[in-house]
Amino acid sequence: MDVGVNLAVKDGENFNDTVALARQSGLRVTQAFDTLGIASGRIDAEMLPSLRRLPGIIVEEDRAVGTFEA
Amino acid sequence: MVKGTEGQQSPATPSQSPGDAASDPATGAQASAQASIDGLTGRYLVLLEPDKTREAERALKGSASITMDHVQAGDDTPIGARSIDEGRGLVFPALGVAVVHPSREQFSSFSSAVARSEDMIEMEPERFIYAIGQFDPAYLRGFRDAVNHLYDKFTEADERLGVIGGAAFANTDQLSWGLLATRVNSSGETGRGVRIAVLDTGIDLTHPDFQGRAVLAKSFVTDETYDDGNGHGTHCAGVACGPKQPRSLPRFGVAHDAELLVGKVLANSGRGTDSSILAGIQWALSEGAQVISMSLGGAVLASQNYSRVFQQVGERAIQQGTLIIAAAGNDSNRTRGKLEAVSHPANCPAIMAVGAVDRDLRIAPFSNAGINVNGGKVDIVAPGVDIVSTWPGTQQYKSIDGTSMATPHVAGIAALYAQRYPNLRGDALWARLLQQAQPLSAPARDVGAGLVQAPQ
Repeated sequence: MDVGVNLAVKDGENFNDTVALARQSGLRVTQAFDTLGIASGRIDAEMLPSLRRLPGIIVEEDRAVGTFEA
Repeated sequence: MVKGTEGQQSPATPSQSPGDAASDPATGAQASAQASIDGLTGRYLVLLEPDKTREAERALKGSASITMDHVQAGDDTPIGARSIDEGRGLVFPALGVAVVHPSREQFSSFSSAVARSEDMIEMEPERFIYAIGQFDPAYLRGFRDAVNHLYDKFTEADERLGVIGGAAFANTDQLSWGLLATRVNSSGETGRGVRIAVLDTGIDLTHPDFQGRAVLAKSFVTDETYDDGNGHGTHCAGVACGPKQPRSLPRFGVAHDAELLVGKVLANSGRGTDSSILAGIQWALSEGAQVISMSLGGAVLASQNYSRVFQQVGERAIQQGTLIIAAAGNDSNRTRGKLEAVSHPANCPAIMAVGAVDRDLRIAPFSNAGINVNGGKVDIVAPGVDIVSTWPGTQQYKSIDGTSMATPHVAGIAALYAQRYPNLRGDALWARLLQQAQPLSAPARDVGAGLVQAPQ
């Protein structure tokens, strides 16, 4: 089962190199923002642990958000 | 003393006479016996407009015969160790602050000069400071909360809600109560030249209040255009930068001359995902937005950590001079004693979290609180109950509640400050918003620095 993830490449890490490593770990990148150090994509849930283990990277599952009208 | 009280003698009057000045061994400051009893030094701190040091000096010299000396960069002599003679002052150009020691005779003309001058923002008496160990903001917040709690007790105010006695606002023929409470009506700024990005459910550009207005809009929602099929985004855009003269209602928009960017990151259902928000933020930054308003988010548990992804985004945005402002969330039910934590992504320290107050400046029953030990405090509050603004379709206008409605008030006012002070961006803009907020008699946990106020 696929899960959506967002990842942050930490300061000091090479963004493109790190995203390339993430791809090799199974991430199908849907958007990548070099200036923010952020990328998003989808990955098989079983491969998520290996993605999380990559150095210099923070991985969070994509979560639902909504409006704040009371 | 805040500007506008020209000629008013504050309790912190200067030395009774030059003859009864005493020296405090801890600071070296000259102070009168009376001032010492009050914990005051007899000197005054004056907050200067950025890059207006020379003009302020001229005003003080011309109006009050006060001569100013300069503290040069690299001179780290403690201010407490400096002796400032009566009739003189010290300017710290890098800080935008002056320390002035007026004589009794000079005080009236000194305070008048501060009140009149465009180059000086406000003055306050300098106090003796005593060591209390390592500076701990949490301790000070706790102290303030305790004082507020006692105030509420003794004034028989509702302890849970916390209210400033007698403060109540109403919509008038000219203005919404939200603009009155935040003093947008008396601000000379309009947001001209400042770009605000509203990331939400889109916008109805056929609405009469937006027709003819240059709005840059883009959708980040699959299979949906930027057109607002929900209404929430159009409402928020109206509060942040609705027109000066709406088609059929009093004014409700804060920064009516600001350049409006609309990123649709929530679907017409009102739902979305982190990844869409990230795409919207990236777009807003690339389009040069100085302020990003996000009336959205998701609930978090009181023990849950903030998102490190969004924290990094907030930090990078600030580095680029852009302030991200987000709603604190509506999960609380204060009438039943239920408080919930500030929501994601407003709980990130690098994103400004906005709570909501009602017409009486009471914290709104639904407004979330800074109760998460892992971060996520309320930074500031704004009007968020009975807020009228633009709405799509034939209805055209609607009054609704939420921290969603408070957030664009803060975003619009941030744009007013950004217009007034072209170098005030990112962190500095954040700090100014908090400095100028009106303190409220409610815990900082609920209202942060207080009610956002427009530049005057």
